[in-house]
Amino acid sequence: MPDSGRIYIVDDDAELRSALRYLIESIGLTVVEFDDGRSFLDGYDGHRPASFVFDMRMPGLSGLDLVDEIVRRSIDVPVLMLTGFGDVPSAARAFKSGVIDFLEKPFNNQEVLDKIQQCLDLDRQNHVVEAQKARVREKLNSLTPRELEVLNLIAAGQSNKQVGHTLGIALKTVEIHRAHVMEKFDANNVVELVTLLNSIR
Amino acid sequence: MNLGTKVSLGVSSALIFILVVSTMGFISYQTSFVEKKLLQRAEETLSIMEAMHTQAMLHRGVNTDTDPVIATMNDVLDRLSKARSNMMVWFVMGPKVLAYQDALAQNIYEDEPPRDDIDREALESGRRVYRYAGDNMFRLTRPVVLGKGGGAHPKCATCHSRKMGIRQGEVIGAYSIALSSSTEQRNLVETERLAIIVSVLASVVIAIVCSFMIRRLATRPISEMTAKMGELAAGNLSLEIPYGNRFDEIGDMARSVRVFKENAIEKKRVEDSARQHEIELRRVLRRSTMGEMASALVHELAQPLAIIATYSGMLVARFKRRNDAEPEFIDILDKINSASHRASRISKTIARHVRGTEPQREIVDLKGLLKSISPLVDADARENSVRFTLEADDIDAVVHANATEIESVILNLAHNSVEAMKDVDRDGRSLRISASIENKEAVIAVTDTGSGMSAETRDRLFEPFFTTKRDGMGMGLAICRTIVENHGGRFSVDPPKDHLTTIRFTLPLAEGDDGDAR
Repeated sequence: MPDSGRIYIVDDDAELRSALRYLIESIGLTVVEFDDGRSFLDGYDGHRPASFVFDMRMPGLSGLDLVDEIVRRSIDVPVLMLTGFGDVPSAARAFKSGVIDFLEKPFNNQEVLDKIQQCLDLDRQNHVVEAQKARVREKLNSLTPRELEVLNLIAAGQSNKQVGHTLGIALKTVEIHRAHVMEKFDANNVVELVTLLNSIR
Repeated sequence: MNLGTKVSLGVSSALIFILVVSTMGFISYQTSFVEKKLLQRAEETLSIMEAMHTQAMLHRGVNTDTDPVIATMNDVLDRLSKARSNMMVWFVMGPKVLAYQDALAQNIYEDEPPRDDIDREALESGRRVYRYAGDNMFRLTRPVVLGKGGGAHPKCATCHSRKMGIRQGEVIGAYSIALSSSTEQRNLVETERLAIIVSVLASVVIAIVCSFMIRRLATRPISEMTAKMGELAAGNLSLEIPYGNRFDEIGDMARSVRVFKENAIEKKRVEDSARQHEIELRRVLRRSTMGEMASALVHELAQPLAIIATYSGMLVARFKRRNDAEPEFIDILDKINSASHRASRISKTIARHVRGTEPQREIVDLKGLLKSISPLVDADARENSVRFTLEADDIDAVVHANATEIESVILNLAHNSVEAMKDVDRDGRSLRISASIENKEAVIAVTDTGSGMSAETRDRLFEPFFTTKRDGMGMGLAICRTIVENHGGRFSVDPPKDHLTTIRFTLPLAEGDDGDAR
């Protein structure tokens, strides 16, 4: 599998870690274990798609501390939080910080696997969107200054005639620039073009 | 003896004393006045007698028996010298006159020797002598000296000096008078008796009036006030204090007692509220401790249960996919799996039951909360020679919280700090509680100058049953964390800095309040 996800488990209980690893590896995913938050932050290799599984309560950095830290580092990977009894009231806060879901111990195996899959799908989507955004940015960068001016005015809703008038150039010239822009963005019409531009705004 | 009786007794004895003294003064004045009056009467009478006697002596003829002047005088004398009534007058012959008379063959006159000591004294001294003699008698004896007064006439000497040998300046005889003083004295005694009766009656009346007035104006209100104060001291705070509208000392007293009462009520209110507070804190702590222990147990159990559930679940799934697996094994593994889940559910149910319902939350002003527990922290700090400062004046934050729970968190942190400074020099012990607003959250920080904590302690600080105290249970901070996290807040420990240890927690601000709107 070319983009099979990687699951990063951070839990101080070695036995629980290996049980989870055993379970997750059974569906063909790769598992990377850390026994505390500090070593995870040092050891995360940036692989995508990925999902993080944090234990809520750990000595040193807690699961919530880790979530804060990855948000701070702009690591946009979905997080599954393992909770014990009585951790639920902190959930609201955790959700705000970017936690996707919770797993209360002891888990139902299928539920664990489903949620991990959901996280990976989400990350994959995020990844695709990010890749697309990167492509749009790249295309924008490839435009000449004049083409960029024309694009901005068209996106603002002006007709070719108005663009020519605004920029002080011939209608014919406007039409040529416009054709180049459409070609570079691989867009069939103005609506498609504007949608692509909006995706990076 | 109450105050009224004392004052009445005092006033009446003072009055009686004054009246007795003045009566005695009056009597002694009266006595000397009576004596003066008697002396005057005696002198006047004797002057008449002397005049009469002198005239008789100067004009008598040779034959004294027939001399009408002498006869008249003798007649008067006879009557007066024997009178038993108010007055008696007699002549006294001096020794030389008596001797001359005795030397004559035949007495011309009867011997008239001195009748008493007063006569003798007057004859011997040549001066008049007067005093009371006996109870009712005033006596005066006036001697006649040759060459002086009545005896100055030259004719006196012809007989007394030549015939009797009396020298110039020597006593011839004396005129004596005894006056009855009984009338005057009776008058006096009556006056005295009247005066004393009037005085005593007046004293009694004045004493009664005084006593009544004092009772009315002072002692009754005072006794009443005393009784009220006694009741106040006994704790009856609902009573009314009278006389508060009087404009005298009693009014002042009543108003002071009212102030005492108000103070007592206020003190009781504060004490009641402090006691209520303490009861509430204990209740929270007890429930939290039990809840926390139960949670910790469930938490610890969840770990192995999760492992059992995961492995057994996996085995079930794997065996089900294989055709050769024995159904009995699958069944057993399934039972293990569901039993682990059941065990978890049971423990959670019990823990939830122990923990009870979530305490009520309300809008709480953080500054007010900190100020209200400040005295409790201060008392704890002072007992351990710790200097305590609260920096909460600038904070203006309201949070949605259970005040008692948050108070118990702060008290717990403060107490830990105080204990952490036991090994520090007394001068260096200081505890600071401060509040601020950061990122739309209230932050409460507790800083001490204690012995700090090791890295391991910092990591495990909030774990249930983790403690560095010899007799600690290790629940305090675990409870604090649970409370704060239940409120949507977080705990953190600052990295050690300048021997300061700071532990802080956040609380989300109440909605619709971003900390600077109010």
